[in-house]
Amino acid sequence: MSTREAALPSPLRGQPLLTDEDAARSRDRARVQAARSERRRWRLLWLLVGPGILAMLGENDGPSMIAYASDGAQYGLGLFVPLIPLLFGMSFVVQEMSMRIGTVTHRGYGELVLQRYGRAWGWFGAGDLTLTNLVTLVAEFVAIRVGLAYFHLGAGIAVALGVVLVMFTLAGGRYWRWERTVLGLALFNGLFLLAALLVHPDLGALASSLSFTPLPGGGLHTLLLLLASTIGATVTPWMLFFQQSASADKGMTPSDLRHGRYDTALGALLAGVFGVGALVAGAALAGHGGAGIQGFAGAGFPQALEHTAGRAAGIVFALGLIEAGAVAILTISASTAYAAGECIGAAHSFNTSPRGAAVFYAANLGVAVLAALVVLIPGAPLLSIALNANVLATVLLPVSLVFVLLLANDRELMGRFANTRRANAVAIAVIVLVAACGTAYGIDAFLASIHVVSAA
Amino acid sequence: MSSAPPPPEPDREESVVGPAAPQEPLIEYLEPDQLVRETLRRVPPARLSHRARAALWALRVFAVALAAMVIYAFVSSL
Repeated sequence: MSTREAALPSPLRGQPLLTDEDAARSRDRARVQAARSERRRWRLLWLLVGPGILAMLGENDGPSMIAYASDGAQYGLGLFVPLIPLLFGMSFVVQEMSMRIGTVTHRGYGELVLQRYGRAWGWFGAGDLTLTNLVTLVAEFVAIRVGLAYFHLGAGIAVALGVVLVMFTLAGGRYWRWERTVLGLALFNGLFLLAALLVHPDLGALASSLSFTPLPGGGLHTLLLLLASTIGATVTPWMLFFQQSASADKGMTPSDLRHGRYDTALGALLAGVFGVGALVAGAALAGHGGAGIQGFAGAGFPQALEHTAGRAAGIVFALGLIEAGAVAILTISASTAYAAGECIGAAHSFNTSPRGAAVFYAANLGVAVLAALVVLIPGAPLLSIALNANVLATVLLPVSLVFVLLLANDRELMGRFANTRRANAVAIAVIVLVAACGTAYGIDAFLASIHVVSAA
Repeated sequence: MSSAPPPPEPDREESVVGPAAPQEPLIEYLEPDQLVRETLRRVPPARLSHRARAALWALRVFAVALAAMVIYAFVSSL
């Protein structure tokens, strides 16, 4: 036994030098290196994009798009048109750190937090993620149900569609195939931009809203709820887990950092534009009086759009909701699976077969099935769950962000790729803003629930 | 990075990844710390100062308290 072999923990001794997972990843890396050496820039970009776009467009999920459209319908364009791109800019700051940590260390967030800061924090992060993911997944099935209801299809079809989609994407046996399949679906998030065009928005009102005015009416509670839910629609714990683990699973290395940033920036740009699209489409319902919107679990939004802007707008918005829910189910289930594998210490890669990574595949499918079962419970408060999913994510987000910042500054792990002072200043500002909004909303909601302050 | 191995020839790329192919050519496309075998090594625990430990404990209390408040508010609104 060599010295190096003897230095390995006992489970590693006797392991093959190269596993099937390594072989699959190596094949992807061979293509990247060929494109780089042949200076095929677009080919290289095509090969290296993925985790960033998926994290960002995955976060333009069902509840987020419903929240944007609802904001537009109830409060108009003011505040939100500039706020949504600004928040995706904020999301870029955080996701870039996640991508960098995964790319440099080749390890996921859950694994690093658990090993570096102890089991309590590792499991806290995984528990926080599982809770918010489960709630969000329920909301994704609700979004698919809303979209399908417009076409007179029921909850059973929505549940079957989501679960079958997860099974289908898991059957590829390779990270590359999974990523490309989900990426192809995610681009249909652009349907929300099409919906915005179909409602023929007032370009003058759109331009004047860039000054953050008019501010939404209502009290402090309303403003805090709006801010918390909009932040929750742009930055969430699952995105941090997902992009770091997916960057490692994709096999990215420090030489790919620049393309990783392009990928993340492109994702933020697309997500911001499509998010504003949903907001603008919703704003077309501003004079609608809210009728039918509050009952969106019965297809209120697409139906209301049809009455206001024509059948095409209704169809496109309904299809967009189905897409947004479906892509988020795939990415959020994947983030849960990565976290489960990393915290338990089991294999956690799409490049491993289901037999070799049973925990990973079981968690991926299991969490989707569990959320689907909740949707099928008669009388479950789905509307309340869908509306509160983003808020819950915001409240639990600061803890995850603090650990991302700690890891990104860990020179033992990151070496010369650790955060610069400027990156730290921006990241700390983001964390303080998210924590302040989450804390203010949490305290306000609690005080309102015990009738110390008014919820109005 | 700068020590990246030479690029594969187009038809070589496929030829090295078959199950019967030797493992050495495949390894050259991966960084040493990227191999599954290497990622199974645990990273050492972080050395935290007393102040950092106290801050993390404060964060833990903050997160649990805030989560409890939000969950209570959520459940009571159902």
